[in-house]
Amino acid sequence: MMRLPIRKGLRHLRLVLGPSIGASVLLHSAAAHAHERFVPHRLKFPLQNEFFTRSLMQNPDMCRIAVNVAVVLIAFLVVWMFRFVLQQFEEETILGGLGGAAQRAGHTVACFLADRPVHNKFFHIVGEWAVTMFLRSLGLVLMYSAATDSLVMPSYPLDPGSATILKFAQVGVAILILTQTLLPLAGALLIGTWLYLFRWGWYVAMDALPILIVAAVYVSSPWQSHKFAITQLNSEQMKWVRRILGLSFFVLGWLKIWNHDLIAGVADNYPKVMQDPLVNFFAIGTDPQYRRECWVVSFGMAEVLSGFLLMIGVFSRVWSLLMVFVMTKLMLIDFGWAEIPHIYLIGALLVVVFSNKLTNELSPFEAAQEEARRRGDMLARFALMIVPPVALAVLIIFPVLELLTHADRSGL
Amino acid sequence: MKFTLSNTKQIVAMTLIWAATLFAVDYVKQPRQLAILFGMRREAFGDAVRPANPTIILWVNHLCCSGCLDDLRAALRLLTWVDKVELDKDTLARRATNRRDQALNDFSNRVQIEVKAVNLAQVDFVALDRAVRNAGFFAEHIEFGGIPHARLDAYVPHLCCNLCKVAIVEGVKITRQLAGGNDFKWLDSIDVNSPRKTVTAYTRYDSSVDVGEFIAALNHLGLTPATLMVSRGD
Repeated sequence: MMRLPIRKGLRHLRLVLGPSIGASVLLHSAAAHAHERFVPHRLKFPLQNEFFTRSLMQNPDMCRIAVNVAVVLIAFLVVWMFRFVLQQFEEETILGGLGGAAQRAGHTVACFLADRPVHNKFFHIVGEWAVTMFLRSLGLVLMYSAATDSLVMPSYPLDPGSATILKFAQVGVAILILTQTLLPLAGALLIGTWLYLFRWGWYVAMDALPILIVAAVYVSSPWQSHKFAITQLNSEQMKWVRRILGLSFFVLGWLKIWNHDLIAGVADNYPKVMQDPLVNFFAIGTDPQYRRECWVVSFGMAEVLSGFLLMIGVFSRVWSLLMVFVMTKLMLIDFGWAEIPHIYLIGALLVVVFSNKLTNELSPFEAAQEEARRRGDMLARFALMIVPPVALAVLIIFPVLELLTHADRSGL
Repeated sequence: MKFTLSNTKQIVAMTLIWAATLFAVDYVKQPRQLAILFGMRREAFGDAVRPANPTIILWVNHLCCSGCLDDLRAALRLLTWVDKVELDKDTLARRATNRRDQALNDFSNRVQIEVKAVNLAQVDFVALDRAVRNAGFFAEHIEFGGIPHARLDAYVPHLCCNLCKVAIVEGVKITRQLAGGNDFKWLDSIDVNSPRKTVTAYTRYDSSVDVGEFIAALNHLGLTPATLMVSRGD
């Protein structure tokens, strides 16, 4: 087992990944070249396109979905701000009268749900295995992509002219990953490859954002990585894993609403995916006449919600566990072999689920709240618990959704 | 055990060198304008910008005067789905690297056929090819573009068994490999369905399709399609 130092060598993570992700905003492509090769996604019936281009003010159904999502987001954020109070209440009032074993079990479950360290041998062992799987699984995905004439994502075919060279290059990177050799080099090659994906259009690069998750860990690993058994990630590495993982879902959620025909086409071919309870919950109160359109928006918003909460570290374990379930179901039941690359995302999510080094981005509010508690200023304390969640939910959901209704979709 | 970590300079340098290498390999293997290479502009077959509507461009190496064009127009008038037939004046002439190409340039032209979107399902490239030949012409290339993602469905009456299927799949694969990436740039994958007697070509996203190349490949394999339809594809 090896613990990597936090400060030394990790400062450059910010410097390397920041500009790389920033490039996604600066670089621009006129066309979305992406398309899905192996999952049938042909629309069986056209969508009512005007639904996606009407402003929120004139579209009560989309507005209703946005309100539903915002309410759920506020609820999660508020519960998060009250989590210590709730945990204290649970342990003192509910579990107080029970025996030691029940108290310990209740404490473990509460710690798990509140993203606090879980001191359990089994949890620790599974966490170590998850890190090992996460660090290597991308190698398998690259091998699979090379075997299907693709680069990184099996959805994106290589040009026949350069296919052979790029496939060999991918296999070379995969060997570095699978043998855990020169991981900083492997990380840099992955980031470089991701930048190259802009050649196929920004949409492709956004779709491939998840490869940066493991690249962040690689570039902060030692050059002599092959000599170590890396079974734990430190807080700084976990922070980047969580942020990029969340950002990936967040961006892909918005893109699903923008490129609505793609996800609706998948649903037309796999009607079972429309029976998701969370997605259907977001569509409560909408007009059945726009059932498919509302499902598309709800589906995208579900990803936006889970991605955002993961990005800021609110109930990271709960959302990651939920997504492990969804990804596994999509891979094993709904789509089958075509979605085998999901194994890499499942690895990344498992790392978050079983990590004891989780942090969150709301800690400044929590510190201010603690300060108010010490001063005995109850009004300020409760204001700090309520106002930031409401403001965040409104700012995250409504402006972007409104912007998307004005987005140019002619290149799709 | 001692270990060393990478630093920002090393990671940035390795990242940029690798990204530049990938772009360079891409450019060397498929030279084109930098705007297209960096994804700032759409890529299309034959240096042409992708048209906005479903469009077919015929490369006819003998179309020297208005008489030739009138004959071709008369032949195409029989196809009900053809909307407009015009000379494609915007497209550049072929790159003439020898006297033969230069000589062809002197007499050749490209004809643009517009198709109304509502008539897309009626487009049959075999009927088009036959009409051109019946008028005494031959189209060196039949390019189709204008919809981001198309698929070609060829109905091949002789597809009697699994061996026929294997012959087509392997034949197209070998043809692509022998061409070293110069042919079938538009082709993503093919699917042969023996019971239905169809060969479906799935095209790469946002590419112009050389339909003539597909027909020629089937002919080369000893088969000929009875119809070749186009649709917005999976």
